[in-house]
Amino acid sequence: MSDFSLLLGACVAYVVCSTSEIELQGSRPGNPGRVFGGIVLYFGIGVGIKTVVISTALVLAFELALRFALKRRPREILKSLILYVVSGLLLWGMLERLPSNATESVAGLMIGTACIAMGIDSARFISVVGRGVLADVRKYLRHDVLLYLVLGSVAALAILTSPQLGPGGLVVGVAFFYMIKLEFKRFAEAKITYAQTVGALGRLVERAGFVPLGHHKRLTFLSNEIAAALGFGYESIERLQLFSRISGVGLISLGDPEDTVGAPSLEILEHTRRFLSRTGYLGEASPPGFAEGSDAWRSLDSHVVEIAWDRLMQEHTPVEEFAAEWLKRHVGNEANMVAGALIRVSASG
Amino acid sequence: MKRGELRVGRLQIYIGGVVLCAAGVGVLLARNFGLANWRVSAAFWLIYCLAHWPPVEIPVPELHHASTEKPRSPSLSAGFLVIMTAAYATSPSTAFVVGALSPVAPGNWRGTQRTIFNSAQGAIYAGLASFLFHLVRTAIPQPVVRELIASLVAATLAVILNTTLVARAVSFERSWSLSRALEQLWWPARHSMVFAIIGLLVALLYQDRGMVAVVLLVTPLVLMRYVRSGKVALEQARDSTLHAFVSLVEEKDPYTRRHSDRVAAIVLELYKELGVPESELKRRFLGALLHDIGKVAVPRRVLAKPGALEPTEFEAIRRHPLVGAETASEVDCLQDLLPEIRHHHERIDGKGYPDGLADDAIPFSARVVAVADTFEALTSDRPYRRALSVSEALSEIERVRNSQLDGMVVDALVRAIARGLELPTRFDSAVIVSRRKPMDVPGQSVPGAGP
Repeated sequence: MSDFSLLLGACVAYVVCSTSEIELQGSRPGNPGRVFGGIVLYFGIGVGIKTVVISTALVLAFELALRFALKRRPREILKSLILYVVSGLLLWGMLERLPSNATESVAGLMIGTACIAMGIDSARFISVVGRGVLADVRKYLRHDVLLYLVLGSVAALAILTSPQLGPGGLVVGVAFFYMIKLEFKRFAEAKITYAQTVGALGRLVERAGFVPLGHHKRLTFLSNEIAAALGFGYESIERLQLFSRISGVGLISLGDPEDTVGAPSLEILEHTRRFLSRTGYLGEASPPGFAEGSDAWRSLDSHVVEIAWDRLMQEHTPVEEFAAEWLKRHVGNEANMVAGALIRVSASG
Repeated sequence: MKRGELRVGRLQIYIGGVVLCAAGVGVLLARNFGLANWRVSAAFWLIYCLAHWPPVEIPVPELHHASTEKPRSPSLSAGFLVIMTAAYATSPSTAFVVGALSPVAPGNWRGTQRTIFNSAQGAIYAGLASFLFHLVRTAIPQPVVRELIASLVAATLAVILNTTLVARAVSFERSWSLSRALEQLWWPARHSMVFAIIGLLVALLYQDRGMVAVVLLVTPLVLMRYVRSGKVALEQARDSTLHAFVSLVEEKDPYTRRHSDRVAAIVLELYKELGVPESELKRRFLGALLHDIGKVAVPRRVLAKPGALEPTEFEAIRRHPLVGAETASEVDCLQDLLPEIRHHHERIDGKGYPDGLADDAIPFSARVVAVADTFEALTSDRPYRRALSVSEALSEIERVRNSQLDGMVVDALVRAIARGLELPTRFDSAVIVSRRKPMDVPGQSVPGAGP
C-alpha cells in the first residue's frame, strides 16, 4: 500500500472516530476516537518528524473546522492537539527503543496502545489522583484503560490486516470501531431513558400532591452540592442524583398526601429504598442504612439525602440553627461531616 | 396420549433426527478432509469459552404471566464469531468439532437434552459452513474477492442453518408455530451474520499471525458484550421500576390490585386475536401496564369509596389519564405509549374523557385498552359491586359495542375468551363489598367499568 493511500485512510479513520464521544458504565464522557485515530495514523504511515508535522496540520485543520461547525471552544482544540502530539511522541519514543520485529508484533501493538492510553489520559489521571478520590482512580483503571486497550486492539487489527486487505483493513477497523461506538451509544441511551423514567416518576409524586412541585429537582441539586463538597466521585454523585430524583416515592406507601404530612424523612426514604430494591440497578446502589436505626451503621450517602430532605422541609430556619438541631438527632462522624458540608454549601450560596 | 406428552415426543424425535444428521455430516467430512486437528480444536474451544462469557440475555418480553414455566431467553455471544473463524481458518472436520464442543463451554450448559441438540446443530452448521467456504474459495481465482464471497456464502448458510434448526426445536418445545419461533430468533440471527463476517478478518489474521490474533479480536468483543449487558440491565431496571411503581399505586386500593397486570394480559390476547405482529406486543403490553399510572394522583378514599362520587372526586378520577400521559411524555422511550395512557377512557360515541374523541379519532391502541380495562373491571370485585361472571361481563360489553367500545376489538375479546383466555391471578383479600350507586356520567355507562 502506498504511503499516500494509507495516510488518506488513516486521516479518514481519525476524522470519523474523533467525532465520537463515548461513555463507559458511568464514567465521564471521553473521546477515545482521537486515540484510535492517532494510533492508526502513527502506525499506518510510519513514525517521523515529517509525519508528525503533516498529521498535526491535518488535525489542526479538522479541529478548526469543528470549531466553526460545532462551535467547539478554543481550549478544547488546544487540548486535542496536545493529546495528539503527546500520543505520537510517546509512541515514537517507545517504538525507537523496541527491536524492529517487535514493532510489528501483536504484543508490541498492545503494549504500545496501553502506553498511549495512559500517556494521553495522564492529565486526567493526575487530576483524579490529585483529588484523592480512590474510587475514581479504581474506576479509571477498571474502565478507561480497558476501553483504550480494546480500541488499541481494534486499531492493531486494522493495521495487521492492511497487508492482506489493503485500505480495506482500515475500513474494517473503522467499521469495527463503529460497532463498539454503537454499543456505547445504546448504553448511553438506555442510561438516559432510565434517568428520565426515574425523574418522571419523581415528578408524578409531586403532581399527586405528596410534595411541592420541584421538590425532587431541588433535593437533587442540594444533595449533589453536599456530595461534591464531601469530595464524592462522579459515579457516587450520579447514583445519589438518581436516588434523589425519586426519593419521594416512598410517600405513596404511607397513604394519601394529607396522611403523610410530617412523616419522618427516614421512614419515607426507607420506603423508597425498599421500592427500588425491587427494581435492580439503582435498587442495588441505593444508599443503605435508612432503617438501621443507629447512625453508626448508616452510609454517608444516606445521611446526605436525609439532611437534604430535612433541610428542604425547614428552609426558613437559619442553616446553622437547622444543622445544630439536626445533629441533636444524629451522632457519629458521618453526621458531623454532612452537617458541616451543608453549612459550607449554604455559605457559598 | 395427552397433548403435552405428544409434544415432548415430537421434540425428542426431532433432536434424534438432528443428532443423526450431525453424525452423517461428521462421517462425510472426516472421509473427505481427514480427522480433525484436536489441538487446534481445543485451542478454539478455549477461546470460545472466553468469548462466550458473559452471555447477554436477549430481552424477551415477559408476556406469559399465566404460564407456570418461564421461558429462558435466547442469548447472544461472540462465541459464534469464534466458531465461524474456525470454519474459515481450519478444515471442515476441525470446524465440526469446534461447533460440537461449543455447548459444553462453562455457563453454556442448558440441561442434557438441550446440550445434545445444541452440540449436534453447532457441529452441522460449523462443518457445512466450513465446507462451503473452502468450496467457493477454490472456485474463485481473485485472492481478496474469493475470501469475501466465500465468507459471505458460508456465513449465510451458517446463520440459516443455526436459526432454522433452533427455531424448529423452540417451536416444538413451546408449541409455537415455526414462523413465531423464527421471528423471536431473528434478532440474534442478524448479529450472528455480522459476527460471521468479522470472523473472516480473524481467520486471515489467524493464518498470518496464529492464535494470538484471535485473542486480539475477541478482546473488543468481550468489552462490547460487557457494555451490552449494562444496557440490558438498565432497560430491565427501567421496566421493572415502572412495573413496581404501578404495583405500588395499585396497592393503595385492594380492589384494583394487579388490575394493570391483568389488563395488560388481556390486551396481549386481544392483539394476538387481531393478528398484530409479535414484535409489536412488548410495547403494547407495556402501554397497557402503564395505562393507569396517573391514578397515583387519585386519593385512596376516592378509589375505595363505596358510595356515589362527588363531582370533585370524579374530577380527580377524570384527571388520571392526563396525569399519566404528562408523566409518560417526559420519557423518550414511552412516547409511543401515550395514546393508550391518555385515551383509554374515550368512547366511540365521543362521550368519553379527557378529550371527548370519537370513532377513528381514538387511537386504536387506546380502544384495545378500553375493552380490556372494561372487561377486567367488570370481572373484578369493586367497592360498589361484586364481580360479574364472564358471561355477564360479555353481555354488558356487547350492550355497549359501537357506542362505548370498538366492535372489532369486542369481537376479538369474544374470540379470545372462547379460546380460553388466561389471566394473572389476583391477590384477593377479604373485602366487604357494598354497592355504589352508578352515576350517569360520560365514560361510565358500563356499570363499574372504570375508572
